[in-house]
Amino acid sequence: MTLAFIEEITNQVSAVSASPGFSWGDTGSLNSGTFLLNDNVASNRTGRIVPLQFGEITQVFVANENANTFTIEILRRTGPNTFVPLTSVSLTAQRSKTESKAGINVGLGDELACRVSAGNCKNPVVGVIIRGTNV
Amino acid sequence: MRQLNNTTGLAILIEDIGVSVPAGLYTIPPERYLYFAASVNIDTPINSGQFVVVYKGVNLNSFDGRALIHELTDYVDVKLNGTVVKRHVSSIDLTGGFLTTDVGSGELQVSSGGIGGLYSIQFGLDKKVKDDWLFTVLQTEESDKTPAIVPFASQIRAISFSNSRNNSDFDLQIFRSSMGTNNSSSTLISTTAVRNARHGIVYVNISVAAGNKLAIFCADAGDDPEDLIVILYLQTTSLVASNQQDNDSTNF
Repeated sequence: MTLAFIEEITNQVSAVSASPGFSWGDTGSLNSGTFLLNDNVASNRTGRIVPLQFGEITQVFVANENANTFTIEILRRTGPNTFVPLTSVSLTAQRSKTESKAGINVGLGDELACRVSAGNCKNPVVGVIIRGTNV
Repeated sequence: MRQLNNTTGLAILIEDIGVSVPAGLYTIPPERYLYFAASVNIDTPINSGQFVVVYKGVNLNSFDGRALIHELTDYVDVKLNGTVVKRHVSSIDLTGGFLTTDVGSGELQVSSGGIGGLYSIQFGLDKKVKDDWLFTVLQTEESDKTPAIVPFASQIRAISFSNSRNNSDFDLQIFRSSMGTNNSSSTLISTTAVRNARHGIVYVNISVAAGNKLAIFCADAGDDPEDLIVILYLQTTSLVASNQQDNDSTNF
């Protein structure tokens, strides 16, 4: 009983999602290797900055217009044209998918990018939930 | 439909827009035309032939391909009796002079050098010049006897002069007569005072009509020029044309 209570309190306190949220999208049919946009900027050029300490990607959710087979990859941008893959979600003849993650750590100031790493999709929208501590 | 044919056999990332173009034929999504138009990195694979821009099933050379991508241009087909005789990737092509009368009503249509296009008329005299009429092209005759003919309604935009002597002083006078009128009734339409000069250019704005006859007189104003060349630069203002001739026997 006490342990459950502590866990509930912990989740409520630390389940912080960055505002306005980590999301990427793009229009049209996208091929493998294409980076999604964050606010009209190709994420390989400029990614989203993680503003949380001790962050952890806990969920990735993906949707696209049709039932397609493809893989979305979340990467850490470490410099021009250099990336470190963090995690991915594969869809098989699906419009959307939500996948929980564990152990995908991101640090304060990390720059996140998103791309189609396999297959093709149309008009995709991708989001992640990051749990961490406000600075 | 705008396509890129990636001839390398491998996917190529257009880095500045984040788009990966797979090997083979790739159709650019219409909603991404503006991204491609703004891309700088797309030029390198087009220039090197890694990407061949394909438009309506036609392979474009790198120049036209880049124009299609960056300027969002479209083909302009010029047809003669229903057959495409000239295809421009943009509506302005200064390298492909072309003329057709396939529009009826006596109006000439040109696909380049049309309205707004520049052309020149040259005059000269291969000796010391003092109160002389300059000769028209090839030095065959004085321009008061054999004037130059204006082919299209135009504006004279510039007058350049050049001679072999320094510190020349003279007045360049342009005379005009209309086709079908007596040359002796020609009118002075421009005077350019040249003082202490060997070369120069003046910018003017003088209207002339299709069929006008032009002659240039070099009036004495001091030290005489020698081997004088004068070039008029005209800008076409209308392509409406009708054939005209006269048989006037007088000089300017």
